Formats: sequence, structure tokens, C-alpha cells
Amino acid sequence: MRQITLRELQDIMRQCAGEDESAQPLEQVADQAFDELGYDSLALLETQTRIKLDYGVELSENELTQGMTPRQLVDMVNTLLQTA
Amino acid sequence: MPRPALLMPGQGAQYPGMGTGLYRDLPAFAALMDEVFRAMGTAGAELRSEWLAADPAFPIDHVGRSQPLLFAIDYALGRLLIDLGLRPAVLLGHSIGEMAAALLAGVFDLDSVVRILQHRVHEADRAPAGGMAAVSASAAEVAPYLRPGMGIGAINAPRQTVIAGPDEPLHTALEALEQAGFTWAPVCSSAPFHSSALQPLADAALPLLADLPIRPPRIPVISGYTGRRLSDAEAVDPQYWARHPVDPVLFWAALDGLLASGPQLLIECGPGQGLTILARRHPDVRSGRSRAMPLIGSAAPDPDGEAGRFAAAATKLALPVP
Repeated sequence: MRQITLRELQDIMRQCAGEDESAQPLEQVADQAFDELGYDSLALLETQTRIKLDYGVELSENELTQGMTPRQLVDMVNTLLQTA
Repeated sequence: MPRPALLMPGQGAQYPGMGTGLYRDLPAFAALMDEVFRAMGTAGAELRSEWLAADPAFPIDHVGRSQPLLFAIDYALGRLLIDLGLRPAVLLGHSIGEMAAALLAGVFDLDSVVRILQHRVHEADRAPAGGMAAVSASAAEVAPYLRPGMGIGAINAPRQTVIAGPDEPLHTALEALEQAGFTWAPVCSSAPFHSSALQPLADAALPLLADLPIRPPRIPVISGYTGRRLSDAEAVDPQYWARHPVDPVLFWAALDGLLASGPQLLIECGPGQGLTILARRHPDVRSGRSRAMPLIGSAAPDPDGEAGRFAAAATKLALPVP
């Protein structure tokens, strides 16, 4: 069964925010909220679109919030993949 | 020691009830807000009652509401920090936030800024209906999609560009961008700020500005329009201020230059935490060399928690909690 990893989420988010490789690995900050990591609503919206395209998982509007953490997002997507 | 730098947000940072919790819970902030409302005359009294109303007649995204309230809250928060003993080393405002910075820095007095602001809002209301949108793309990537009358409104980050313009070309451009796979979100505004659609506003503001007293800044200001420190000559040039509604905001360049000048403690002096989040994307903030913090902003709009967050921020800044 297909799953998303923190590493894969990191690749998506780096492309969305246009970051270089010097940014901290997402594994190390997986429990910090997206707003603390510098991801605003536009970056999260793009992340959501990319997850839909790459994984076929559609998050409902406002489900992905700035107060959420990368680990919570990965868990949410993987739960949806399992029930899909 | 990092130097305190105030970031003052503009259009797009507004949310219903912004600042009202702090107004209710912190008399020192309320007194500063009331000072601005008084300077606005009868329009100020109406603005205040609309702001505090549970069911306002105009939406907060209407520029007649968002612009004066963003300005007032940015200014009142900055003044409050200074009154509590903070000595900001530098000010950086985004769009209308730069007018609040200009007031704090003593470039204009309160009555003058209020006149500029009221003129701007009045004229923006007569401009063609339009808006702004933030696109997850570089300025170079969005440039081919701009249509006549449109412009780059702001470059907020390497991959966050705001486009602005009248409704029709803006919608057409956004549809084309979406088809090309770009993500965008509206910057809630009833006017196309920072586009050539507002050129008549800039032209009309020049004689007004030329009549007002203007002084060099007492606190250094980073210009959101040049990305560099505002020189004394620029500061006293009415043309510099008149062009604000048509020129793009180069926020990322301004932030990048500020952070390159040494470690900063960036304090978002206004509603929300949009500029803080942008700053957290900068390598200097990522690495911990500089830091960024909101004063009253949180992940979701929450007026009732503003006083608590302000108190926590004041403690972090080693200021007395009012």
C-alpha cells in the first residue's frame, strides 16, 4: 500500500516554498506547527494540491491548517490512503 | 544581541474583530487607538463603532475599513512597545504598514498621515473594481500572465508573488495561471493596490503631500519600495509617498537586506502573523541567527486571545507587562 513519508512531504513542501537544500530536514521538526516552520496558507494550499495529484488523496477545505504539524499531516494522509 | 526590528503588516492581514480583544483588555492600547480615531474626526467615530460592532455594515475586506484599521493597529502596537521601553532599531512596513512606520518614525504627524490615508481610501473607492491575489510562483514566472492594467503588487518571498489589477484582467490572468498549474489565493481587498489602475490616485495625492510637513525619520525605516534604508532625501520627497499605491512592495528584498545587516529580532507589530511566517522562511531566521515573533497573531484569527499573547510577547521582550 502506498504511504507518504516525511521525506516525501519535505520534497513537496520545498518545491512549494522554493527553498534550497540548507533548510532543516522535516524529520527533525516534524512536531512543530507549520506556521512556526514558515509555511503560510498559500504554501499549504499548494501542498494540498500536490498531495492530491501525487497520492490521489483529497483533503477537504480547511482541514490542513497552519497550526498542524508535518507529522499530523503525514498521519492524516496515510489514514486516508488506507481507507481509500 | 539581535536588534529589535518592527514589521508592520498591510492589506491581507485583516480579519474580523482584529485588535478588538486587545482594545477591550488593554487600556493603554485602547487609548492609542482612540487617539487615531479622534484624529479621523466623524469618520473615525464611525470606523470605531463599525470595528467594534458584532454585525458591521461593511465587510472588513473593504479598503475603507481594512486600510485605516490596519494602519491604526500597526501604529498603536508600535507606539505601545516604545512607551513600554522598547527601542526599535529599524521599522519595515508592508504597504499601508509603511505609513504606520512613517508616523512612528516622525516623518509625518498623526493629522497628516490621517489626511493621506483618508484621501487614499476615498480615491481607491472611485478606482475600477479590482483586487489582488497571491500566487505561489516567482515574479518572473507570473510576469507573462499579466494583462494591461495589471501589475506585480508585491514580491513577498522568492515563490510568493502578489498580482493586482481590475477584476476582468485579474480573473483572466488567474484562470490562465491555474490552468498552467500555479496555486493562488486571494489577498482580500476591494481595490487593486499596487497596480497602474491606481495611477490617478497617485497623481491626486501629490499636491496634498506637497502641502504637508515632512521630516527625515528619527528611527531608521527600510523602504518596502526600494528594499533599502529610506534616505532623508527620499523621506521628504512627496513623490516617494504618492507612488505607494501604484508601486510594487518589494518585501522580500527589504527583509533580505535587513537580515544581511546583522542579527535581528523581528517583531510583527500588527494583526496576524503573516510577515512573521514569511520571515521564518528566510535562511537567517531558519538558522537562528535572527528571530521572528508575532505580537498578537496566532495560527487562526482569535481576538479574545490577543491580550494574553501580547503579555507573553512583552515578557519575551523583557518589557513590563501592562
